[in-house]
Amino acid sequence: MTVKQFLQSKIFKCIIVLLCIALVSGGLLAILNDLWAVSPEELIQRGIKSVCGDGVNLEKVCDINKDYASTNDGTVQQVLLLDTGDYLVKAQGKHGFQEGNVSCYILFHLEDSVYKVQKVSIADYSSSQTLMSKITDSGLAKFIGLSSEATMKPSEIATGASYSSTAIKNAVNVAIAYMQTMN
Amino acid sequence: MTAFLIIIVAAFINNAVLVQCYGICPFLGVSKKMGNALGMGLAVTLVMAITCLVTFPIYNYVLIPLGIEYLEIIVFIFVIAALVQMLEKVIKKFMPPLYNAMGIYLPLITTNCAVLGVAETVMDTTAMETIFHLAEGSFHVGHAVLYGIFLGLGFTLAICLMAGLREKVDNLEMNKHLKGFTITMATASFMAMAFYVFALVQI
Amino acid sequence: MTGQKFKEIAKNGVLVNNPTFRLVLGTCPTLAISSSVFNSLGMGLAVTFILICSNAIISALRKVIPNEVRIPAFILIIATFVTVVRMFLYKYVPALYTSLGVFLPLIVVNCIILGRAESFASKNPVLDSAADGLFTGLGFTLAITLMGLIREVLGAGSILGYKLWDFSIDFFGNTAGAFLVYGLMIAGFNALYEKFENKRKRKNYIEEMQASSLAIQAKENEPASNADVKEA
Repeated sequence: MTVKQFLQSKIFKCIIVLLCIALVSGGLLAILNDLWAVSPEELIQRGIKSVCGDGVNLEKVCDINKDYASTNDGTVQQVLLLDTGDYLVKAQGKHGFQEGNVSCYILFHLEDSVYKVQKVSIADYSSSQTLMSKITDSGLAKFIGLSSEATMKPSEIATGASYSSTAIKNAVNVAIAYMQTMN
Repeated sequence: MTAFLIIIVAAFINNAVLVQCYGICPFLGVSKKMGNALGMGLAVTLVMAITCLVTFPIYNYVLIPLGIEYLEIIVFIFVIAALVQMLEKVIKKFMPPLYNAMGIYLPLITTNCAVLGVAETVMDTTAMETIFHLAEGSFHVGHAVLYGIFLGLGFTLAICLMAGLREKVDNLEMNKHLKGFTITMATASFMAMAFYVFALVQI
Repeated sequence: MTGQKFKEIAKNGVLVNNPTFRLVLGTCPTLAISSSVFNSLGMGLAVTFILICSNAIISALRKVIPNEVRIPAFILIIATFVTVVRMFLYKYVPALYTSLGVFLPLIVVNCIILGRAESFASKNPVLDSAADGLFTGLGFTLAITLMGLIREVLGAGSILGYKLWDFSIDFFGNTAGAFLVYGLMIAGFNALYEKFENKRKRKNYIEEMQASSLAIQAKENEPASNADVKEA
């Protein structure tokens, strides 16, 4: 087949049409992707919304003191000051089930000049029927039940029954230890 | 241990049909006879395994480094369509008995949401590491393929159970509006209830 | 497009060929997403938007796309719009994005959209196709929202998140409940449809009889009228 024949053939037309559609749609998607990009600030705001609900805004993102942020059990990833005066700490706990990590948001509320744990919730937590959802349902209930009278002693915060709640416990403990250094 | 966990989660706890509602069309359409159901199930398993093997590296080692992960839907659907076409040719040429058993189901699989669904599920390594409590960056292509295979086997299990039940249920006398679709759905509902118990497994 | 054709497309899309209850297409999202009204409505509107856009574009390009590669071309166009919807939801409605999850990309393999592209949009002008997309999508939205309403009221005791009462049956919130509700609704709609069909047939029959008797009368009167004309 000569080049000229190929240019007039049906195959060539098919390829050209498909390529044109692909290019146009690729270009459209690239533009929209830039236009509708989600900024990091927005992601932080969404994290706050998932823990505290509507109407709570970010006051500022605190600098993390590297000396205290990381221990053997976990890492403090983000410390956010909210406009209600509470602190929201995102911490990652290590040594979970199968050495996995769990990221949690921990909300601290100032009460009698100490920061107390008010709420714990798993970051990036989806409620579909998986192992994770089942474990966190029971594990989190313990933490939330405890949090109303939570003391600031890390060892007393909770003793998780399953391996996964070990990671959650570690995350909470790391956050509490970090908040103690901030006071 | 991780492998065991992935097998249990993929085949039972996240059963493709009865828990996640993937691939309802073949589940209802090809479950009239046990032989057909088995052929369809195994064909889906094969395609799922190969899909995971191909799409996982494409997403994590090609699309993400290039920064075009938003093209993932287009890329995945074409990769799956191409894979199914190639698989059909290969099986027809080298394994005629297998082709006779499951060949006719292969073209149907391109538009089966279970296959695209599993590709979309395993590509998200962060979510998978959260589900299986793995350390960061340790979910690799082997895990993905294992998940794909056992999600497919879970699908096979469900569709074969359904076929076995339908051989009995379809012969019953009943109201003409309930017969056929509705009674099949009711049977599926009871099966889903049974599978829901797996979600209570605590590890 | 004439009003008559528009009416016919609307009736076909929403009632006669309702994609969910009459044609039993797109079962996967119907079962998986319909656990609450909010999710169902979101899914329905997303599918409607994609149907309108893909139908219009495919219909506009129907003379350009060669017959041999029409399915890949259709899938390419549909996948583009699905990605657009996904980006939009991630930016502006993250709650819906999270709860639809993997079923958002799975709209690509939803048989309703490819089915309408293949059977309607590739043969009809742009405006008709867009209208067909709109009404088929509305039919799907209505059906899935109805299911979402039933399942949310029974399974969570609420509508759109507003608590109605404390009584709830978890069964209806699960996949098991979805299967049962969908099966029963199909049975109910089939029974209703058959009733209407019988009524319509009877009406048609009576009209036919009346028409034929009128025709006989007209025949009897014919010679007389002819005679009248002649006389005139």
